[in-house]
Formats: sequence, C-alpha cells, structure tokens
Amino acid sequence: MADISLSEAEKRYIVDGVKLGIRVDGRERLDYRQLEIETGLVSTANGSARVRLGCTDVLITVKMEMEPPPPQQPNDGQIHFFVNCSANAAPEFEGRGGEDLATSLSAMLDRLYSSPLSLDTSRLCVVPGKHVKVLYVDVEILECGGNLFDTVSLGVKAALWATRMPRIYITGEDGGELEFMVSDNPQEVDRVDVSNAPILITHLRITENLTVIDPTPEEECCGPVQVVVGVTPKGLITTTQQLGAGTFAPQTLSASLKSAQELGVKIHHQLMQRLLQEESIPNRKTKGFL
Amino acid sequence: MGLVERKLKVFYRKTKKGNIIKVVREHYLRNDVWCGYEGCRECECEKPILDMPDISDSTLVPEPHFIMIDTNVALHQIDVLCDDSITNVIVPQTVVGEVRHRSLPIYKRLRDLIETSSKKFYVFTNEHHNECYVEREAEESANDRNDRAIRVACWWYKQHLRLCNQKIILLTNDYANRDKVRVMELEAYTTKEYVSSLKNRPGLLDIVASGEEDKGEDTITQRCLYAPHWSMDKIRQSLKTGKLRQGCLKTSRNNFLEANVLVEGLDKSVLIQGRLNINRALNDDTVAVELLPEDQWCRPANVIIDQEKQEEENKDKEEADEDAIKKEDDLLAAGQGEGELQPTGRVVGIIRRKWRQYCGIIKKNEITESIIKSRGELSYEQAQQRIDDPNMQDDLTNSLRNLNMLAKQLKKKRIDAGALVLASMEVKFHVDPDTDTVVDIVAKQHLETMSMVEEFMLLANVTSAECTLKHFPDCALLRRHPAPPHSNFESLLVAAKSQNIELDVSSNKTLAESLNNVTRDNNPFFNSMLRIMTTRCMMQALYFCSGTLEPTEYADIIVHRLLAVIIEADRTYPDLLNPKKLADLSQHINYRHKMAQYAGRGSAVITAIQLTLYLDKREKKKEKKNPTKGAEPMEVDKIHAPEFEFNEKELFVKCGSVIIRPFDHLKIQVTVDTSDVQHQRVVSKLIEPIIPGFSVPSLKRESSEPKETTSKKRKK
Repeated sequence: MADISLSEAEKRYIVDGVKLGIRVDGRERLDYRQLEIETGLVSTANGSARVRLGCTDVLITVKMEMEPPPPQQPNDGQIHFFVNCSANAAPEFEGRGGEDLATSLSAMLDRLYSSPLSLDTSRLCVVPGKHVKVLYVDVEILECGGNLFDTVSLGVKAALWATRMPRIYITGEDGGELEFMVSDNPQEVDRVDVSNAPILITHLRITENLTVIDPTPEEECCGPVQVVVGVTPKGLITTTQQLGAGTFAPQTLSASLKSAQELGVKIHHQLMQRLLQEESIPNRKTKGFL
Repeated sequence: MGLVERKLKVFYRKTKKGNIIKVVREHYLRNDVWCGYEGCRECECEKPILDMPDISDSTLVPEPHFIMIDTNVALHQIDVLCDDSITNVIVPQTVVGEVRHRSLPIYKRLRDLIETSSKKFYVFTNEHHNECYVEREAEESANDRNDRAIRVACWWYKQHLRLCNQKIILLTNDYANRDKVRVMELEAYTTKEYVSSLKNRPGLLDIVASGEEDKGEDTITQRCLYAPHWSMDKIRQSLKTGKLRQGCLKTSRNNFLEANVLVEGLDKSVLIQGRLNINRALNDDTVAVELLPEDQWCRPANVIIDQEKQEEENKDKEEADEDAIKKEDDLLAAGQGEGELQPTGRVVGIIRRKWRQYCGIIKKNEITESIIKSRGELSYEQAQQRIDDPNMQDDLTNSLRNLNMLAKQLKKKRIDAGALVLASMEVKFHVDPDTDTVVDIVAKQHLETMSMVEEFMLLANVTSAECTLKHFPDCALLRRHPAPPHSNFESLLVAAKSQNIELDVSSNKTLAESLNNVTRDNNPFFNSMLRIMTTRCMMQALYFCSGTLEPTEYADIIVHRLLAVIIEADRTYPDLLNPKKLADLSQHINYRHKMAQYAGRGSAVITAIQLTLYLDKREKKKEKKNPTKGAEPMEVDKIHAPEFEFNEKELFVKCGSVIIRPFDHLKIQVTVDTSDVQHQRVVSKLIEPIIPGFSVPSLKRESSEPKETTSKKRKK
C-alpha cells in the first residue's frame, strides 16, 4: 500500500474517531466509498471495465484466445490473471517497486477463481482435448488510493460480465478432426456466467477489536493487519487471506467474517443491478476517461 | 463540412493459426458526399459526372431518369451495362466492394466503365454518407445488410433529386429486393423488364443474361444432396481401424440404382442401394464402404431399372431433386426380392477412379470443358465404306452421314467466301513388317471422310481464334497464311501463260475460280499439277500475337490457356496477357518451326531415295524374268554436251529442233546414284523426247511405263 508518513497525533485522531463510530471522511465503520463502474471502454478487448472507488482507479480487460488444453485437464478452459501496478499509480511503484503488490494481487485472484463453483471452466471448452477458450484478464492499477483488493475484484467481475465471445460452431468431421468455425455475425455472441463470481472484502483492524471496511491509505497506516475475504453472491466464503504483520483476536476475526458475508451479498446485488441497468441503455456512448 | 460521426465496425475472424481475433475498425461518416449530378444546386460537387438527357428511351419510365444498379446486376449483366445506350448510372460503393470481392474480371470491367467518361457511371460513396449508413441488425445476414444499404441509398437519391425534379430507378434481378423497394415507394425493375422497354435497342434484349432470379444463398446449400466424400486421411485411418472396407464397385447389370462391392474378408459382396448411397461412384471404381447396422440390411431388388429409360420418362417433368430421389427409393423398395438379407452399406469415399472417357455437359457457353465419349475407332476407309453402304443404318453410321452432310455445307460456305483448294500428290508406302522393306506404293486417295474431318478441325480452329480474339483483343495468339506478294506468283503465271492459261491472282476467291476453270481433255492430271504449282507460291503459316501483329506450337498451349481463362476454368498468369511476351514467343515458335521444316525436307529426300531404290528393285526383278531384255544403260557422253537454249519470257527450253515447255509430256529415267555412300542422290535422266547426246535410251521395252512428272524449268 501507499507509503504515507503519519504523525502519532494523526494516527490517534483517526483511531479515536473510529472508536466513536466516525471516520475521518465521515463514513461509518462498515461503509464503502463512492463506487463508479463503467464497462466496454476498450473496444478491441472481448470485455473491459473501469472501477473507481474513491481515489483508487483500476482498468480491467479480458481477452479470449483459443488454445490446446494441458493434458491433465483436457475438458476445461482456463482463466489467467495478470496485474500491473503502473508507475503512475503511486510513487513507490516506480521501476519494479510495484511487483510484489502485483504478484500478491494476481495470486489472490487466482485463488478466488480457482473453484469451479466460481467460474465454470468446462463451459469454456470447445473441442475436448484440442481447443479450449482461455481468458486472459489484465488488471492495470491506474491510481492507488487504498483498498486495492476490493476494487480489483469488483472490476474483474464487471469485466467478465461485459465479455462477449463470438459463437463457435463445430464444423463436420474433416479427416477425423473436429474443426471450429467462428460466426461472422457480431450479434451472435456467448457470454461468461458470472452469477457465482466472488468479490473480495477487506477488513482492516484499526484498533483492538474494531475493523473498518474499505480503508483509506491514511487508515491503512494506522492499523497493522488486514484480512481479505472472498465472498460469493450467495454469501459463501471462498477464501481468506491475511495481509500485514499482526494479530486478530478470535472474536474480531469471526465478526469480520460474518460482516463480510452480509456485506458481500448486498454488494453483489447492487453491482448486478447497476450492470444490468447500464446494459439496458440503447446506443450507450462510453464516458471513458473524461 | 466533413466528419460527422465515428462508428466502430466490430467483427470476429479466425486466423490461419486457429486463433480468434476481434477486429475493430473505425468508420467515419461524412456530410460532404455529393450526389454527382451536374444540375444539383444542393451539392457542391467539383466534378459532377451525371447529366440528364432530355428524353427517356424507355416506355416503362417515360421521364428521363438515372439508374442505380445492385450487386447482382453488376455481376451478371455487365454486358448490358457495357452497351452504349446505357449511361447515367449510379453505382453504390457497396456494389463496387462486393463485385471486387466476388469476381476480379468483372470488377476490372466495371472499373473500366467507370473510368470511361462517356458512359457517365458515378460511384456513390454511400457507406460513408451519414444519411445512408446502415448497420447490420440482428438476424440479418451480410448480404441482406448490403441489399438494405443499396435500397437506402436509392431512397436517399429519390429524396435528394426531388429538389431538382429528377428521377431515379433501381435495377435489380432479385424479385424479393424489387418488391421491398416498391414498398418504399421507389421504382425498381429487373434488367429484363427495363431492357425490353427500351425503344431504340431491340438487340440489347439478347445480351441480357438469362436468369435465374436470385433466390438467395440457400439453394446452394440445398443442392448438396450427396453426402460429401471423406478426406483420404480419414478414409485411410478408418480402413486401418476397420470402420470402413475397401473394394471394387460393380453396378448391377439390370438395375442402375444398385451396386455391389467385393470386399476382402467377407464372403458376400456388400450391397449398395439407392443413388445417395452409391454417392457418385461409378462402375469399377475402388471405393470405401461403411457397413450399415444389421437392421438396415436389404435384399437385392429384382426389378429392372434402366437409367436411360428413367431419364426418358422423367425428362419433361421438372421435379425437385429430393422428389426424384424419393421416387427412385420407392422403385427400389417396391422391387425388393425374396432372397436373403445381404450386408448393406454406403459409399463414403472413392479411393481411385477407373479412368474412362465420358461425355461432358454442354453448357450454354460458346466454349466449355468437356470429355469425349469415344464410340469407337474407324479408319477413313472404314468410315467411308459405312457411309456408302446403304444397308448400314445403325446410329453410328447415320450420325456419320449427318456429320458428312454438315461438313459439306461448311465447305461450301468456305468456298463461297473464297477459300482455296490446293491439291497435293501423296504416295503411301506399304511396308512389309517382317523385312522392313517397301512392298508396294499407292497414290493416296482422297475420301469424303477426310474432308469431313478436315472441315471440323477447321471449324474448331476458327472458333477458338474468334473466341480468344473476342475476349483478349490485344493478346490472342493467332495463326494465318499471309497473302503472298505478287512476285511469288510470277513463275506460276508465266508457266500458265505458256500453256495459254490466264490466272487471276488478285484475291483468293478469284484464284480459286480461275483454277476451277482450267482443264485439259488429254491430261486428267493437268488441273492437279497446276494446283500443286500454286501451292508452292503460298506463304508459310505464321503465328502472331493479335496485339502486336508480329508473327511468332506451343501456340496451341497458349490458345488453350486463353480459352480456359475465358470459361473461367483457369486463372491467367501475367505473361499470358502480355503482348510483347507473346510476340517473342511467336518468334521463337516460328524459328523452331523452320528448323523442323528443314529436317522434314531432308527426310523427304531420303524418302525419294527409298522410292527410287524400290522402283529399281522392281525392274531388276522383272529383268530377271526376261533376261533377254536386259540392256545396259548408255553412258551419257558428257564431253559432247548439246547446246540448250532457255527462253525466260516464253518459258521453254530448246535444243536443236526439240522444244520442251512446262506441262509437256516427258519420259524420264530415275535412278539412285550410290557412288558416294554418304551422300546418295536421286538422278533423273531424260528419255523422251529424244535429244541426241543428252537423252538416254529406255531400259524397258514393254509393259510398265515410267512415272510421268511435270518438267521443271532447267536452267543450263
């Protein structure tokens, strides 16, 4: 996370505020900042999304490729994540400074989507053993303003929702080999099923038994440890990860997990609502980066 | 002024590697695409192309109007568009793009029309016109979208031209398209309708390509009735695994819808029933067969189904292919025999075809690719005998007679146009195959059948030449006998004059007539001899390229390639259409031809030697029978050679009291001088008229006369 130097007084101010139930920017303990999402920005990609959560800005693109599957899993497609912390996002990302963060982010995403319940990769199979669809998800951190994990996971879900893949027809047996053909009608597309795609919720333990959701960089300086929870739309926890050096008291941890579940369900619901609303706009012109 | 909007054209494409890429292209719309009409006040076109004539040629559309064409009209009716009476045509950009995609030669012709300023063809850039841009909708095919774009463009023109009181019609051959256009309150006509309505061009209706009106692309897929053959790889693999069997297909003798395949390892042959299962395999082909499951095995039919008879019965009924197949299947099912069930299968591929010659289909083209169905082989004599024999009335002989009659008519046409008939004396050797010696010589008779073959060969050559010249006016490879210069004829004319004959050599027709009128009662060979002399005056045939008019066997190959391009059986390569290259080629051909001719003449000398040797031997044989007759040839006394006088003007040779003129009768003695083994020569010596000191006495006193021949000018 961003390296900000805070004085002890500032830290105390933040922490005391949380104890009283008010955060520096006026939010409550479990409130998110304003979230903006737009899909379909990058027309050359199969799917794309841009997410702004407060000052955090990320751009996600999804590209589909046809590849032969690995011998161990001949009937499944694959999904690969690649994160890049742009040097524009924070001064410490200059050069190879952002690599560690990028690696941990992509590892988290891999774990998040590793279960077949999150994303059914068997539907990405075209010709078993010969051709499968591989989704390459590229994450670009444009601006780092705290709480990267949540933002990125929301963006990935939105981008997968926006992904359009051309319909593929298996043409007849040609010398024993099944060949595929791409429909040239741009309206004939297949989509990815994101109904079970999970998102991440980050809890920061700011003081003894209090955690805050969606911490700002200043708040992140105050607390030593975070727990990142992966939650499905149905409220199931798929993964947890601890960030930072620190401890969690058992009650605090279980309380965090519980609240993450509840929050997760709500967020999923709202996210899908907004995405559907966006899709229903006819001839939508993307706002882009303006 | 300028850009109005940016659209994105997005589509997916499969690359050669097998990857799928998403292609996104920017497409800009403008508001400064003009209509191209000179009299339009709204547009600011710098160089308007379209102008409006004062009157309309068409009875269907009484007011003067512009024509907009759709893609199929451009593709199929390009000849109509090339006609001079069709001008002021608007070609939408969509059409130009589609034509380029579908047919390069037609695209070239269309572009030529557009470049020709007198034709006034204007390309309307409808794809970039912000009011005419059309996006493909869901459930719409690419072709439908293009048709819609053309309709919208036409509609736009109608609105636009209303402001200056002009009219536009759409020309389309697709009835569905035409009806949709009429719904939009536009006028649309098929090419046929429109051309029929033109007052001043009755002949143009012939050029309208007969149509199949467009039913869309569905019929093409529908027509694939037969299951596609499997690829060779697949067949090989399946044969290995045992899924398929290989064998020789034998069509049933009495039932063309049934066949049997003899497969190794099975005692019974595999039965194949029905046209679809036989899948275009023919008798004696090596086929790959897939056995059907046992519950689909059949019994061989015991009806006689004759293919030709079936075609006879059905030729007048126009039924869909599927119905025809169903009828055949019913016939088969009705004729199911009582025998045992036979293993049944279907043909999935043909491993090797039995090579045979078959007749092709005659297309409506003037030329086409086809294969000859050989009915048999006849020599000229055999064919002539058949024609002459009134008892022979079979199909083959009657068709020969028809051909003969046609040939005679063709010949008459040629002669009336001035063709020359030049005779050539040919002898034929009969060689004993065992001893390889000459046993007899006969003069080659000229039979009617020879003329017949000659006429059709000429017809083929003339047709090819006309066809290639029509399609490739500047690079067809042609062959002709150039007209001989007058100097060539001088010797002939003088020789003829010496016999009081006047020949008119001003044209081939006059020469032909003059030759026909020359006869000598006492000399039946005279006319032939004169014709032979005329042949000597002619120029050799030369190959030349029509583009450069330079003269240039290999020629045949070039002509074949040009013809193949015409019927689109083959593509051109750049050198084929390059007049300079063809001219060089012709020169090369002519050089080789000349060298070959010299070789031929050399061999003719050898033949003459052979002939003389033969005659000599024959005489020696006779002498053996009559030993008393043997007389030594007198040695010519060369020292006391008599004086010969040669009169060039009147063309005679005089020696003493003897005058020899061309065409006079002579007796000569022909021998072979074998003194120089490496260079044997034919020596001819005069016997009669007797010139003392020059002529030699005859070796023979009775029977066989020596051969007569014309005397050639001999300059001493």
